[in-house]
Amino acid sequence: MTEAQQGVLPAKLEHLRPRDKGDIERASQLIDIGYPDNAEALPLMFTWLADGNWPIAGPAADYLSRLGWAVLPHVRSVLSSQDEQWVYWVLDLVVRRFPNDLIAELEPNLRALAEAPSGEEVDLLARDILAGVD
Amino acid sequence: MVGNRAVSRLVQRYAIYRGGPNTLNNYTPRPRKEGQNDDVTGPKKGLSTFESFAAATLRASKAQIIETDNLGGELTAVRNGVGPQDTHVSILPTNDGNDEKLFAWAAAKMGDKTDHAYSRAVRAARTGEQAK
Repeated sequence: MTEAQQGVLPAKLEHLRPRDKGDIERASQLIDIGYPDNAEALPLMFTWLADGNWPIAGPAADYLSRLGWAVLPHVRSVLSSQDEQWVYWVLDLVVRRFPNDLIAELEPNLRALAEAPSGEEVDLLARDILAGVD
Repeated sequence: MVGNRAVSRLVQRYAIYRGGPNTLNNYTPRPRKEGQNDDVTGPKKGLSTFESFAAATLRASKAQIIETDNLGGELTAVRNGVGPQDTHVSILPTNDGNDEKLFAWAAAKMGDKTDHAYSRAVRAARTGEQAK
């Protein structure tokens, strides 16, 4: 999925797109629709994790980490992106909170990240998560 | 508070906290990209930090401690959280009424190749790291 595709929302949900990183009200409304009705918004919600310090990152992290298997394809998509800061935050805020069986599903992705030197400490974080399930 | 709007105020002589690693990329705001959120739009524009360590690490595993007095004259820390539970603080270029400096800073974000004077100033203001 390209970066542009990550930000696409169906027209019926477009009015709930957060106006800025502090727009928790719209973010929460989009989350509160519930899965699977908001399934098409999941890629957008992952973009709210581009910086874990953003106010909208918190509710997105809580929600996406609870969805489990439904978000695995989206997690894999982020983990294969070139945006290391985004990868860092998805690991720290979502993957770290997954149950062990979900982390095991991501093991090949995590091992690849753990073995690739990273200026953003992605390798350290991936190793830490893997160590937690060993 | 005035109505539903927070009254922004400068943060001086305080430690503030930014979740994530001690890297120049983490000390650089995100530029605008189509369909995505960024650090150059809205009432909380600027590099997001928190006045409270607990807020910075509510979900993150660690945070960098930044002493606002060490930021120097080029950067300003503004508390713009809404209400007592929202301790959001934005680090912004000083005297940047049209956001030109903020846009230029964000445009310098290029992963591990990021190198901007403001990003270095934030790193220089760091006093330590705290894990949750």
